[in-house]
Amino acid sequence: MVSRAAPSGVVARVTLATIVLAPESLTRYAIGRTVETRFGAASGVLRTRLQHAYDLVPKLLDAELIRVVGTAPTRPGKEPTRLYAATQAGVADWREWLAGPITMPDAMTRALSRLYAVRRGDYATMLAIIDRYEATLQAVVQQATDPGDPADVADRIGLLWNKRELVAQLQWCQHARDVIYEELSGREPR
Amino acid sequence: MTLLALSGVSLRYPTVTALSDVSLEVVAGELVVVWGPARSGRTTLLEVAAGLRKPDSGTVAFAGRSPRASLGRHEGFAVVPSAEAALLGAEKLVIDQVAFPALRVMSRWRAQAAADAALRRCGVADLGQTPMTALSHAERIRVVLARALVREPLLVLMDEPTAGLSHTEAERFLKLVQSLVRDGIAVLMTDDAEGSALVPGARVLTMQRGTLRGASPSPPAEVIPLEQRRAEPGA
Repeated sequence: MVSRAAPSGVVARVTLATIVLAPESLTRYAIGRTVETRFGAASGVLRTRLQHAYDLVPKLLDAELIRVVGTAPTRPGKEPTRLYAATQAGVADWREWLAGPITMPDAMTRALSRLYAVRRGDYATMLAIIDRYEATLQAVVQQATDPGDPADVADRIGLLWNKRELVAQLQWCQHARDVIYEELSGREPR
Repeated sequence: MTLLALSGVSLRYPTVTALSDVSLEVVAGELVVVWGPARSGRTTLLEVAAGLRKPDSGTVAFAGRSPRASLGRHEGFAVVPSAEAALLGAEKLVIDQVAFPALRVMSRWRAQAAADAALRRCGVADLGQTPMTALSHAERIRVVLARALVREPLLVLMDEPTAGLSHTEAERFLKLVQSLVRDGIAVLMTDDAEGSALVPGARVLTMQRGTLRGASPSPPAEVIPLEQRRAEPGA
């Protein structure tokens, strides 16, 4: 069988991460449900629903990033449902994604989705993700050109919004780092 | 051209690490903003960069020499501390405050002329004969900056210059800083946790728990003459 190209997009990446991080093999429905719970409605990191991840499972299988490792019984009279686990290539793909660049636009989504897809307790990887996100934001400030003083008041207010948004995201990097440092030092994060 | 170079600088106070293996280069005509939460080591970084505080380890150099040799000198660098700390005497006139650094090396008349020019540069030319006690906070920080500029430094170090200013006043002051940078003066300034000094074009570095994080300097691309580009398209 010839492997097809891996599906692109952040939901595909977090779907693969969910399979990699699962302590045991998962059904297609369980994969969709887990992605929706961790990344979708509850945390609000991504706008995704069960069906999206459910539809991506065959594509990840075609790309040989996951494989079928067995079956689980379903209702009487129904075919047993397949169980999926990550392949070596899938694990490598997940690691590469975690270490990949965090670019604009939607850098916040890219950073947050990666933080949620890190193995529990892997603080070094989490700090590296925050550092890369922060570097992207810093580059945005450096590469920006001075708009001067626009004559339109709405433009001036809009520029103010852009700046406060950027500052808030940079502050988030500092606070996120503090939470991890507190966790590393064994204290309860405030 | 690299003006200020810190390499592997560490400094520890009795209970906290203020600087941890900090390396930083500031090139001519560059605006660098160091910001971060309170007690992150920003002021200590400026003190070490100015040669006012000796690090436990690492090296600091201004134009390849010890920073103490260039502090306050013509075409050296100047420090703008917080406005209150910079006062010589509250009863003195603004013109005397600003001219003071130049009096050691030039006549009183020439020093006052240089002070007048620095005050004009900072947008407070009409305050020369005003006592320092009569100034608002926003005026005082401009006067302190004028005093730093009177010896025509290549680099100015500023410690949280926008602290205590209203948003509008801070924006105006930052426009002044940007105009200095456009004129070729490098500026290394710290900023509080509100990030008001994160202006477009600035190299932003985050200071947190004594560690400096930030994008590496990106010098502007070399200008290639139009004739050369026509002769070697794509080169």
